[in-house]
Amino acid sequence: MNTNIEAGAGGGAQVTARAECEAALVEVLETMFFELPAEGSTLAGAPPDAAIAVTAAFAGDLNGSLSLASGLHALRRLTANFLGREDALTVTDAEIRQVACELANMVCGNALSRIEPHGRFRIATPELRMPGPGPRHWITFPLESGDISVTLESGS
Amino acid sequence: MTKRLMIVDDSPVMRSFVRRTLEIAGFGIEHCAEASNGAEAIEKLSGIEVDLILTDINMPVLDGEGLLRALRSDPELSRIPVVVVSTDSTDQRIDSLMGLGARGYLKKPFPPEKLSGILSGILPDWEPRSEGNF
Repeated sequence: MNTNIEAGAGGGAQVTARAECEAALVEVLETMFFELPAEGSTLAGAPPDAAIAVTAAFAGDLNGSLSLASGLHALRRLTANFLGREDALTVTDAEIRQVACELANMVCGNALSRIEPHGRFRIATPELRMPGPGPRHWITFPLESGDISVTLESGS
Repeated sequence: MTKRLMIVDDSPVMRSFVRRTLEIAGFGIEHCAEASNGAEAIEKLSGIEVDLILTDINMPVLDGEGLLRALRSDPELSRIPVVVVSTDSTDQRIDSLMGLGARGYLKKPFPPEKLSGILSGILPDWEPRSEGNF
């Protein structure tokens, strides 16, 4: 089974993947980052801002990767929220990178548990990189301080 | 009452998040040791005593399962309650970790209240000093 995000009227699994990725991203942002995404995601072939990109590969009942991309301003604010800093300017670049990796890890785990609730996976340590070449669809949510985008690609 | 804890996670920001969540909830912390993987945790536990371990699963060198096995094989360390905090939340995985001796399992993402609830069940004498400030 391929479980990739598609824009058009694809198969049921593809439609589910978009919905589950959206739900996973929203839950993680709300629960751990105290950030409420604005209503309405968009789908595009590339993220609008990818100053920082993280890819988390996974293997198990499904194999593939989830990637997350965002601008520095948005990630600085998310990092400040995560670490409980009132002043986002106290956040270091290293902390931003670490939080981006942790965010990708949580979104990946959450999305996979929604796509395959009884599946078994192992998520590799997220890496600071864009996903490999190839057509893909990025879901983008507008946040108060910028956009955040996610894409998932997998096959059995 | 205060407790001594150890947080085991390869992500420094996640260790910071867990510790801050406990502090905001009002749990008294006498000492909080940190380790970036299971092997480092075992090494540090040879020199300190803790009342509770909170650990991730997926870590380099020695992962959470390996840590649970190492703790279970040591008569002294096996008495320390362990709570797993991880994104890996399939039923099989949870059953496996509980079988290895984990006392609780917390799926990331989690609301702060959920962490408090699990800890109160495992260490009932470790009561938050206040209602918390969530």
